[in-house]
Amino acid sequence: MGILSYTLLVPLVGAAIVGALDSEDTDRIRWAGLATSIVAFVVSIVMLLQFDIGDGGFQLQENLRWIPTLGATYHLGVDGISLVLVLLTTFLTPLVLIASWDDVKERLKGYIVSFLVLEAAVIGVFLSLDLLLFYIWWEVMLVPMYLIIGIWGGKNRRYAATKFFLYTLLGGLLMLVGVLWIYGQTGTFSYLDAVNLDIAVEAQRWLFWAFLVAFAVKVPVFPVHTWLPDAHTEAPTGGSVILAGVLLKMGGYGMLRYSLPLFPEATQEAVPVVFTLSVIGILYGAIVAMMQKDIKKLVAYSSVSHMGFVVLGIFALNTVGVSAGVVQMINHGLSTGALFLLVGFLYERRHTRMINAFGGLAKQTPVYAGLFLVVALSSIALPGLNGFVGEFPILLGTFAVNRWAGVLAAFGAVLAALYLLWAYQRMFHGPVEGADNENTSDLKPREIAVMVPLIVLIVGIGIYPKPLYDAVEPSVDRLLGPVGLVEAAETGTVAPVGQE
Amino acid sequence: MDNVLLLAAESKGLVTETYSATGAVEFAWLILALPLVGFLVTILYGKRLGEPTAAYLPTAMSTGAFVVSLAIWFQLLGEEASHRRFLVPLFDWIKVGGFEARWELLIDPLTAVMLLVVTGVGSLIHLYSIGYMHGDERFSHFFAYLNLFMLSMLMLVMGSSLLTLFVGWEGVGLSSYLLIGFWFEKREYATAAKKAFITNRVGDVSFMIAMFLAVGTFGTLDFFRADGTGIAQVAPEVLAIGGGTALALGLLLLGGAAAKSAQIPLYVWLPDAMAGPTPVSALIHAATMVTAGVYLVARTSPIFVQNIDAMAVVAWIGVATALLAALIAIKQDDIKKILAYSTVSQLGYMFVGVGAGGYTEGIFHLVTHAFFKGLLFLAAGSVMHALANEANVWKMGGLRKVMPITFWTSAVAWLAISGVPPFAGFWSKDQVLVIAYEHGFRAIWAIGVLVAVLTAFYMSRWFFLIFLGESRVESHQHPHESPLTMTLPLMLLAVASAFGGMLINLNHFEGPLARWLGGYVAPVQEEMIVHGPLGEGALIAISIVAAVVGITLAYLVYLRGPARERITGPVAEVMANKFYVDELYEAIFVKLGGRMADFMTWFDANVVDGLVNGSATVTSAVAGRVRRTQTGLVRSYVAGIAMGAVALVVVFLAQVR
Repeated sequence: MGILSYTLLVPLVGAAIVGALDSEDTDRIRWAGLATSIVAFVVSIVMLLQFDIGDGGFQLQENLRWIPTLGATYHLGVDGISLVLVLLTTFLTPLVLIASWDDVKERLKGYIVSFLVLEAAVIGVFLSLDLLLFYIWWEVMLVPMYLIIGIWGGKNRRYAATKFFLYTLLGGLLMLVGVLWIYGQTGTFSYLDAVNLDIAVEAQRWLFWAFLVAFAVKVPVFPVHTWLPDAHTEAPTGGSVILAGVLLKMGGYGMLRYSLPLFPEATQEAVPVVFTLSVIGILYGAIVAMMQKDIKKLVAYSSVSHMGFVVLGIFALNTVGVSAGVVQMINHGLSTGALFLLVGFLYERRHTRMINAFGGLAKQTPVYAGLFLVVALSSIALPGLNGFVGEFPILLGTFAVNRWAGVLAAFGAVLAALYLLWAYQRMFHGPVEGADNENTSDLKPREIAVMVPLIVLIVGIGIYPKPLYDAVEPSVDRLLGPVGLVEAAETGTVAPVGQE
Repeated sequence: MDNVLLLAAESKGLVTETYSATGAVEFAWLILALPLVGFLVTILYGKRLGEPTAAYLPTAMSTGAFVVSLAIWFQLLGEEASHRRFLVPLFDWIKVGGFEARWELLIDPLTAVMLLVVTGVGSLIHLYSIGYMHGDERFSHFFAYLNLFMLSMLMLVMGSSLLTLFVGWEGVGLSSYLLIGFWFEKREYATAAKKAFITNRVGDVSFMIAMFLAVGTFGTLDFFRADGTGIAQVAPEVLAIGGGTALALGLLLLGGAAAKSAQIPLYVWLPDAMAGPTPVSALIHAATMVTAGVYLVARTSPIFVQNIDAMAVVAWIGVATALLAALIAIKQDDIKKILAYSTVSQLGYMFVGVGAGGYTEGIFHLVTHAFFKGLLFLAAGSVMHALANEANVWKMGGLRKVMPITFWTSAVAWLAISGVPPFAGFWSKDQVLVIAYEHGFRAIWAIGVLVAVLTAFYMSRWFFLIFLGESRVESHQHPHESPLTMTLPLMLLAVASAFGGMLINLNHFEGPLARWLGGYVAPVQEEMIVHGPLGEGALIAISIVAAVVGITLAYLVYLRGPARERITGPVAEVMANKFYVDELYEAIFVKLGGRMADFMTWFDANVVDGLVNGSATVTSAVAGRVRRTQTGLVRSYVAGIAMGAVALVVVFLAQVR
């Protein structure tokens, strides 16, 4: 067993340990959960240290027999893309556990176990190089998330949980059909065999859409996004953070790992459709976000808009756009994760998320207001913060292949400022009205401690994103090889369009 | 104008070489590091330091940046004229797939001018604010934000590429947002802050698209590169004269510049921005930030000179804005609003300058305007300070006796902006108008002269109503002169407003500034220069007459007899209501846009959610059934897994051969 298995197993073992603890012993459960997630983070750092940045291939591979009769293997491997996504997952999980320290009061054990299983499943999705293994982790992930929303969620939790479950499951089933079709061709579930498979364009088209629906639901892409606002509003804070921070990235990751390399011709044919949906998602998500009365729902719709940028970058099919798409997944995980945490802190104090219930909080809770502003600005993609170093190259890469998509998407920048600053004004500016606002307390040290690492990364990546791009770019180049666009991508954005 | 040939491709005399930093230039990063430290320390610990201690570090940091800027300027002065452009690389920023952007500073004569203006005026305003912000509950925050502004503005003028310039560009937008909304408890102030940010974002989209196009055209966003492949270096070869790319780039950059520099159609945020504390109005919304658009056009002048139409649009936008804002200013009654529209109008002059190819003239007016408009705002602040924040000029009058320093310094600024020689504004405004005339933009020149009359008129009205005539100050007020921390900056800026113009560029084409910037802004070709029937002497005479006419008219209307508004009637009403532009924008963007957004939100909840796969009904049916069973959650989960398993088996069997 290598480091990848440890990364995957630590949360599972931790879940088992927590599961064995006495349900009444909440302190021990909390500490055991946190300790597990921290160990998982440390293990993933060891993985990072063993990783050879600059090599775009799959590294640290582990290939064990699993179900030989089916040709399914326990095959793990990590490249630059999965590396940063795993790190995002192991980074966010301990923060979430600290943030919701005394958030959850009932059935705490189940909650912690669900989180750890969820962490393992997501890591499994990112690391699997076997189609069956991938599919199983993909579906396993559904269960803890479903439980987190359905048991520890808000008033409408069952409706939201079921909707989340059905959307994802239906998407997943389509993908399963595709997986099995490929299995029929190769006789194994090996991802590396599948990549080398030369699938006829006809078949590619069907398979492309079968996979894409699953991924599009997860991202989510317009018009299959409506499960997301419901899931977010009902999920507990921790669930929302992981949902937005990590789970949505599985969709983008799936597109990169499967759609592009397995179905290159179909991918290129689909670009106009995907671009159209992405641009609609960016603008439409932002406009609908603007009109939300519930701040959490606003952040949820902002995810639809922001993830539209990610998909846009991925389907630009050039190094700049795709790499920036990956980087933007990390950025969105950090910024939106941080936004959901902040919304959760406020909800704990006020038991409401209605924007018009707040007012003048900048005076009352200056630290909270300041942190909220920094995170909002990161989401608005203010240069110097992390959002910009993803969004700008995405638009650059998009503009190089489709001017109109680039231009229209750029207007998302105005709308993002509009909905976030408008909400900010209503919550934080104006006079402090009402006893509730007067009695709102500022952040506690524990809450500030959770925000500090996020703010450090938001600023750090904004100023020096180079390590992130260095890790991602070689794998993206390798990925774009089969799509046949690497050469175009290298001259890149750079292809002179306006020379006279 | 169409037949004017612009053969800038041969751009003789444009210095394109860059050199590695030596001497003081090597320490240019300090200009950023100092305000950065000031910002961080003050935002984190300022509250504990208290008043006035919290102000000392930011003020010292700003002054430190001024000292470094001065050292750099002296160093450039000592270099040969063709050896004054330096690149100071810091570290990598974004580097992916052939696109590269670095944190790098560009120091050349144009930047050096901006550095001195920003750090010089900026430091004076830090000093002034110690007195002005006395007693404010967020005293330390104010100074932290001021340093954040300095950091951003200095990044803007030192950025070596469009992208690093854009970082500063957005940073000043953020600082502006924070400072306009500094007293956010007042809803309308918070609204003004948001309006400023959003309006600027509209311009930013234009700016960003310009950058996408620039990357596609030049392969880089760097202005200058050591290997000679920067935008400004290759523009003459890459861009065809009169070509579409040059036009597109020019107009897109103008879109960004028009927002930041409050030009038509994006000027509407600036008058509202007066909600911020007055030192902010002076520093950000008069002297420095709003001139960033002018700087941008001058910095990208090698692109603009490739297309006469792009230049003409800039000049026409400028003169139209100058006229519109001057007309509005005539009928405003708020001491700061008058100055705000005046700023919009003066920025219009600067756009006329850089649009007509008079980059030196545009920058010259930028510098003198920083002196006299900064001074006017600080004087207005001093007056409001004395009158418990009274802002209505009709409730002032006769303040010359109680506030002698504010009065005399304001008098200098008033004469400077009105274009009375030998004060600073006269020289720069006149040179802007002369260059427009000489470069064939005669209609623009004529409108510019008319605006000069209007300027002298409304500024005289401002000055007369506040300081001269009988006192109309309400009886409970006890006006007094401001403390030395406030009057000292007034006096220093008054000296600059009086003598700055003569010192900087008395002789239009051979003055120190013209020689300083010569070779560092794109020259227009000889053929563009079409001498009209009027010589420079006649043009100067006309400018002086314009100032005299304006002042005399204001004297007749406002100073003879009891002070009352004599300009009334329907047209005056339209001017007082700012030509209803705000109302028009409100109707289009807020009302109509809001209704569309409402519709889309309804559409999302009712149509998209319902139609995608009939999920609304399906889900609620399932959820309803789930609710009826005791162990509903587990069951539906089991059902889901079962469904998945069944499907798996079915498809799997179908595949087996």
